[in-house]
Amino acid sequence: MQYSNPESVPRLADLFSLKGRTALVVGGSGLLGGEISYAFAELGAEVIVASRNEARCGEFVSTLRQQFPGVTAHALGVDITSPASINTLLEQVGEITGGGLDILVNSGWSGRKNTFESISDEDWNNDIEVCLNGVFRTIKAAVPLLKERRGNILTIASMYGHVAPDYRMYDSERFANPPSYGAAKAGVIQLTKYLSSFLSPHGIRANCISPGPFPFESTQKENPDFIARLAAKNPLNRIGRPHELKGAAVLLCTDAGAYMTGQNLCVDGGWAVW
Amino acid sequence: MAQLGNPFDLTGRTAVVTGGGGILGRGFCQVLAAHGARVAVLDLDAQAASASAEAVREAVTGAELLALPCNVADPEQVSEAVVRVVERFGGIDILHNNAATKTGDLKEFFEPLETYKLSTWREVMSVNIDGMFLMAQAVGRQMLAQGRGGSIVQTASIYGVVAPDQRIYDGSLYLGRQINTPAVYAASKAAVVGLTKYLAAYWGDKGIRVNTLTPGGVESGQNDVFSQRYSARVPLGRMAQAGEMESALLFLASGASSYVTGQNLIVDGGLTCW
Repeated sequence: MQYSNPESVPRLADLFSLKGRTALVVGGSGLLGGEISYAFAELGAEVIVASRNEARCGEFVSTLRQQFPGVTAHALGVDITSPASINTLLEQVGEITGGGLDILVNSGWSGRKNTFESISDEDWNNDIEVCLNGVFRTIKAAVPLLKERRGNILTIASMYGHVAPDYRMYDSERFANPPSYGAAKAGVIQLTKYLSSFLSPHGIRANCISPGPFPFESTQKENPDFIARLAAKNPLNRIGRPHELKGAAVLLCTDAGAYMTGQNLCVDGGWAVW
Repeated sequence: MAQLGNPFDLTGRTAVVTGGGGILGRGFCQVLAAHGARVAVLDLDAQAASASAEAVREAVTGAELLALPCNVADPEQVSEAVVRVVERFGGIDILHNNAATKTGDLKEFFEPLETYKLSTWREVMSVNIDGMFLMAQAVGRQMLAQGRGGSIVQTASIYGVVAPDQRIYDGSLYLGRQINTPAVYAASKAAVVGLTKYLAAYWGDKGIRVNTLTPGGVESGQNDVFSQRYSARVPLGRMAQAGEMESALLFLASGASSYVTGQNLIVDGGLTCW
């Protein structure tokens, strides 16, 4: 390696630092969003955790404060299906930061159990409303704040946003993967690419993570056969551990990823490579 | 110009098919001839080329065929073959780069990665990718000189797109021999996809279209164990029949795809979609 001026080369510790940065993690107290909130706090960011379950969000934030003393964390309620609620959230964020936002993560999710046969118009619309429209709406409301800090956006999609589920793994009752889920997640991937292009003049980066199988602990305990099927489908031969998203989120959201935008980083154990 | 109303018609066109004596090659030659093309059947094995040409002549009344022995890895033989095709048929409109090799030594070809010989690797590459380059170069020059564009179709493989699931090879035999997919095969076929895109962009303004045809596993001499294991990974639940690749070739070779270039048409029963 040759540098004209080695002393001017940023150190990794600085590239990965989030000291002085503020992150808004929507869905930030959930299975995967919670890991991302933790990762940001660990690197020194002020973390604003928002979700529709404000009580759970509050509990999560108090645990996070205990884990990382000195880190500032906030819990806010939001309903991402409501433009008014999102506007209120971003107003609160602006008040907390004094204007501006460095990182926005969209990890909010909620869906109804369905197959292609069972899904109604209403359920389809509900899933798209939360998983895709909610992401669009949150980003649109946050962009003015992101512009002030040349911030970046991280969206959470899914392997089912770019490959189809092998439906033999699902039994349609306890386990189901509705068509709305993949459609919304594919939309999230493409929206991210669009934004990476559209927002680049403002110095705002937009990237996506497509997690592989990360089932809830309750699902793991109750349905070992299903978990075994998921594991066997994967080259790494196992399901994901939620903390395994932390590295990818940190790479994309810190200055370490300053030249990455419009990417869909698959953290899936190799799910889609064969 | 193709007959109005039948964009698949190839009357008056000349096609060159490499690997024309192989499992898929004979069918490829036949479908092109059946739709009106004059076909030059190239194969390393002179007898296989002649047998293929003879079979197509019997199947397609009035078909014009030329069987030529040609080692596509040898620049002189490639140039010579192109000269002979042009002498005989007056020009070239379609090139199907279809030749691939398992080398003359199946034991070495199927050797495990850890002990794979560089000499075997290079021999495979010399045909699977060098050969495609040499043929595209020589035929491309001819097409440019003719000034009326052309269509180049290159055969890749699903294993140039996704990785093989090694578990399917346990107990799997091909013509009585334990098989696998060697890394060199996957690497050479991925290279084909890259070469296609490059050439499509490079010759786009000259009216030469270049596309990849990616077959899934074709039934040819595998044992039941392989067939069942492979089929279980395919949404359509079965291996491909050789003939199922022919309509895709006809599409890409003919005016039916006149606005399609740089694409990879995957005919795999859905293998790569989940």
